[in-house]
Amino acid sequence: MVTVLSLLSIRLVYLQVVMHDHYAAIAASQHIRKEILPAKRGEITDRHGELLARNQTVFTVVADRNHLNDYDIACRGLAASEGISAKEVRRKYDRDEIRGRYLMRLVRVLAHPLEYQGWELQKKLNASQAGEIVLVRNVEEDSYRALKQLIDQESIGGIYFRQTMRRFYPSPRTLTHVLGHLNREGTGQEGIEKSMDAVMRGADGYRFIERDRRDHEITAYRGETKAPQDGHSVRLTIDMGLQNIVEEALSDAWFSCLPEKISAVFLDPNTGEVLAMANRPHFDLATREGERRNRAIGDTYEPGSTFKIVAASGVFDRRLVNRHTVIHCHYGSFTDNGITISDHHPYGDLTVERIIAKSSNIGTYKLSKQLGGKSFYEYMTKFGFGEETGLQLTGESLGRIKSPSEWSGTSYSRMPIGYEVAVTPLQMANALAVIANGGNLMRPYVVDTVFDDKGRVIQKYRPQVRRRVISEQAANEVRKCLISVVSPEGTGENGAVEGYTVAGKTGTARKYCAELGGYANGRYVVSFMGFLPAENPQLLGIIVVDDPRTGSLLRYGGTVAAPVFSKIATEAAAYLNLEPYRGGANLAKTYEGN
Amino acid sequence: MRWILVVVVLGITGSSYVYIKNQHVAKSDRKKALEEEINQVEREIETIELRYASMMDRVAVQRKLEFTGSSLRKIDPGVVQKIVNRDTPAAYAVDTPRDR
Repeated sequence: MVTVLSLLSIRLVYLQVVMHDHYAAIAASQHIRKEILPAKRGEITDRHGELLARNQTVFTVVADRNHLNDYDIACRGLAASEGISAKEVRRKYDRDEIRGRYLMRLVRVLAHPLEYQGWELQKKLNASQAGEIVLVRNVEEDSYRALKQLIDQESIGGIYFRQTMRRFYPSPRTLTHVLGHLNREGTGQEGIEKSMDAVMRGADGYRFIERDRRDHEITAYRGETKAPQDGHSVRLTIDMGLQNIVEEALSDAWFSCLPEKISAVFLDPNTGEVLAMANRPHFDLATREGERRNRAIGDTYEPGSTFKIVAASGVFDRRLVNRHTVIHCHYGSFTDNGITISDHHPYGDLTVERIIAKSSNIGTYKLSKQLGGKSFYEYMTKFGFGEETGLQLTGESLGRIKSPSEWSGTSYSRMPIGYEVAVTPLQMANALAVIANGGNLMRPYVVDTVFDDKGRVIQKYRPQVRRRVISEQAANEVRKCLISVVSPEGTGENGAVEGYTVAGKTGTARKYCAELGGYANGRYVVSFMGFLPAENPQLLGIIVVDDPRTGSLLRYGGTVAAPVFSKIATEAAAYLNLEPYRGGANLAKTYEGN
Repeated sequence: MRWILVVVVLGITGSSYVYIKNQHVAKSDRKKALEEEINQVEREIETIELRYASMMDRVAVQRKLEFTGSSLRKIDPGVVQKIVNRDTPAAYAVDTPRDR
């Protein structure tokens, strides 16, 4: 007896003292869990604080198949429906009958609230015999409460709610490419959601908790807790009022021109703030269906005549010519070193201003010849072509300009008129901003401020001058030429805005098709870029329409893209309260006198 | 007598421990219930705020106006002669003399 008790005592001491840590760890692994406390992702707002994206708490309804098969849970559920005790249920039915009847009851009660047909829910529940089955995702708060109440009332067991987050966009078909979206793990994909992901995601916290055998937390035994650090919020430079004007105009143009794609970028030329950016086709932020590529920054095109501002800026900057210098344009066809350049109309002598207004290819080529190949290439790089603009969005294309060592025999005759160069709409708009703001290349930016979860400013982005490209005087001269473009004598008359002086440039380039290995007949990439008011630029924009199919309407930048710009700029001028021009009717002539 | 005292003291100590532990558990449960309540209210506020943002979205408002056949028409920008900046006190005072 003594021996037995002694042995038992030794065993007790061994288990409780010697092996204490080992068994305590096993017990802890079964009862103690590390619960993640998710951080709230930051919001995105426009420049006026209008909400663009925010996290929303939603619930996923799951069925635990093991619990649905649980005999006790089924008894309790069936007992509640039949108004008898669980004991009586066990007496009345056998095990399989209880489980079967309980499942049928569950389907009857929950099918309609979960928006299933009865047979659909039955099939889903029977699809697996173990584990969790997701029944419904993204259940909002009020639906969750109603469902929970129903489940509690009807004593339904085996159905649980998992709290989760989804990204909510009040206007899911606006500003889609700039905002981007999240994947299922909550990581940003494209747009601001991706480029500012590290800033907005925050850091999850954790809490060690103990659970009882019913998996309920024993709050009294809560352990170490680290609070989550919520993500920062981002305010954009985007103006949603202007953005909606642009989106509406693009949608109209999309249906009237039936192009392959359209892009629009509007910015403040003095600061580089991106005020609006849109593309068609686009996608739905809620469903992620559609075209997700931001073509305004990611796609390149041959800009055609809009690129003539480079040669014009160069010759003015080097003081090789002035606006009134006359250049002979050879009546529409000019051959130089075996290369023929032609104009769409036969022009004789034109002033430099008229060369730009009429968009003469021969005139522009002769201007660039004065500049010289090396200088022309320098001005292309100074204008920011062939490099990233520095915008805070991912997926930006550098575009492509060939260095002089890569030029072919025709390159120097093509590049000044916008061929053999690849640019993005944003690069082109940013280049025009150099003219508008007096000669500086600005770094465009779309994120204005970053706030913490208490609303304190963490980071404020300011306008950045990357470099001076041309002198202020040269910019002034080019600006005056561009005013002439948007006049009855110019190619961009349709880009005019009543009551305002507009400076702009049209572009019409034959479309290069990779599948054909050359330029396609009758297919063009047309564009118009402009800013207003020309005497004090506040708003600058570019419209690029790829392959418009306009039927009888001529496919030029002046006929297809310029009207879109005019429509947007007209509404934008009123919305932004831009000061109208107070001078006389002949605006170009009046400005010449300054 | 001494042993009785020891037993009584131990008994009181043990009972106090049990009482305090029970209070701890009860308070923790109450804390959890309050946390749940706060979370629920926060979620309700969040849902209302997001629904409000949805309803006030420009595109949604525009579509609603079109759908309900509103007689409001867009003002043709070409007829706008002047837009008064309401943030300028002087201009506002001139435009609304009755406020003086």
